[in-house]
Amino acid sequence: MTAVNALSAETVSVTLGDRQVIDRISASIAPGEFVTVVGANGAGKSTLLKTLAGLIKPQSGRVTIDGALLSDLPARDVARAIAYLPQDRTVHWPMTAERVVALGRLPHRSFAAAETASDRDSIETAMTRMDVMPFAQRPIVALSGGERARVLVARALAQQARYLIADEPTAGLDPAHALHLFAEFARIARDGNAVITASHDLSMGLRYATRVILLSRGACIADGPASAVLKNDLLAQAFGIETIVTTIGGIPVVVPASPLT
Amino acid sequence: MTPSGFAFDRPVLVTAALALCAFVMSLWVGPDGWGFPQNPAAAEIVFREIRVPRAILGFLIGAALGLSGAVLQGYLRNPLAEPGLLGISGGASLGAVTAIHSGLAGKVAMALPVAGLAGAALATVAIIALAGATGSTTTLILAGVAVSSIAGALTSLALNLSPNPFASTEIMFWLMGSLTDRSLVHVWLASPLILIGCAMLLTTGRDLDALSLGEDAAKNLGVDLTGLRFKVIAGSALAVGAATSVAGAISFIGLIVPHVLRPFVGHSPARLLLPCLFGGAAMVLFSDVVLRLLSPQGDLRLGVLSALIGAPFFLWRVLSSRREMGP
Repeated sequence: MTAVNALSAETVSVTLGDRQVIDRISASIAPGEFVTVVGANGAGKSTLLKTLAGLIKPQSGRVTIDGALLSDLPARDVARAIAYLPQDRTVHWPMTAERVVALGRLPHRSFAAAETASDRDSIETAMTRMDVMPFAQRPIVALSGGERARVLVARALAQQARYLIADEPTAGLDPAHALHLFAEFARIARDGNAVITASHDLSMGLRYATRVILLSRGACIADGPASAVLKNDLLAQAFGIETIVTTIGGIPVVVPASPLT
Repeated sequence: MTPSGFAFDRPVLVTAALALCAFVMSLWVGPDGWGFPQNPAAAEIVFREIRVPRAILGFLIGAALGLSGAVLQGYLRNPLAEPGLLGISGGASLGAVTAIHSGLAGKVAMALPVAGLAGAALATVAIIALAGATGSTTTLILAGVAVSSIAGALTSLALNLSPNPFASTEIMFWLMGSLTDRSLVHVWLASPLILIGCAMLLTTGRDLDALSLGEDAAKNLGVDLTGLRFKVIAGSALAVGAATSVAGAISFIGLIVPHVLRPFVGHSPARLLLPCLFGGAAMVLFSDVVLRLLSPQGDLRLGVLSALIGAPFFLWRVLSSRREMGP
């Protein structure tokens, strides 16, 4: 049952307070995949991602990584295997952007060790990829929301984990950087890593994701290739809207048309 | 330059040099200004029995307050946090005041600091019982506020009901904090606790750095939040509880030292720890030197002077950060 070389949630249910947020969901990602989780607000996307990252312990079901139970692994091994990028972009101290990116190297460094050349290399590569070099030395509080978002993605990339879990990473990004980020995630996946994001950008999901997981009211209602999941009937069920799925100039797009009555 | 770990970089070296300088000055100054009594035998006794314990205690107490302030601000992600916030120094004060009030402190010399330690221990148990081993930082702040309010109210009650004016004056003076007339016995009592507490606090650096990104991201970076909470509470309790038990409440050090030093370490909570340890020590020792020069009779108290020096410093920081960040 347990797939080797995958991060898998097996029939997990999570109750937060007195609300059942996700109900017996099974989902997994394997190296090479770029999976996007879509669904209405409150459908359970963030909770599913947190459960996969090991931040929430499910009331039932289990999460495994490469065949082993995630909760059995030492925290540092999990930190090296899974990078989690929260939706909340608060950074509590006005550190420079570069220093924030460097925090991603913490799991790779022993207690009092200084930065190694490979740490340095990962930090610079991550900053270059996310185009944050121009403001690397500026305090994070002085950056715009979108710039800050890119710094935090670079922080997660610097962690160099096999699995990257990103919760709405493109929220607040300008179209150019949103496009760039999706392309970058697709490239990371092609390099043999696994990426899973929650996103409301259905067109980008359709264009770049190798697979889409559609959630509705805490349950998984579809899981498959983007073109098989992002279809009118399923989107109507998940979002309660009429959608137009088409291609413009060879680029697939999903356009919300009108609310279902 | 490393954002974590112990880099012995410029802020550490500068604050350590300041602390060393203040330590030597503290050994050199007495009620008659700089220098020692003429009589060599008297000079030796003064040096060994009075100056050395005072300088060592000043260093350790300042280190405990500065470091604990830095750790608490990092852990609570709140620049207004300070060691008194957890209610541990309130508990220690209450214990010591109870010893004075009951007359026990007058009969047994060490009753006062021991009662202070007992008060600090009691306050710590109360905080852990209220805030739990896990849970939000807000719960911890609220528990600290509750415990320090109760301790403060009971301290006022002891003052209110004090048997005679002398006792109430003694309580008031003790509450203002002082290093006067402390002996090597005080050093032996407090130093192991302060050293263990500081050692625990110094191990929290990388976790505090990770926590800058919030609890979820910190946990993903491998931080054991329960273990961190234990180290923060227990380390502060040992270091600050012992410091308050021997010297009374010395305000402002734990609040302003991290504030003043933060810009010099690039706002990294981890790199702030060692400079705050030395910076706190330097500030308490300098205040104590100034105090002895200004008021040789010892009627000016250390806690009052540290607040008088600290508040303008703080004001300067507030104004300059307003200029940096805009209003």
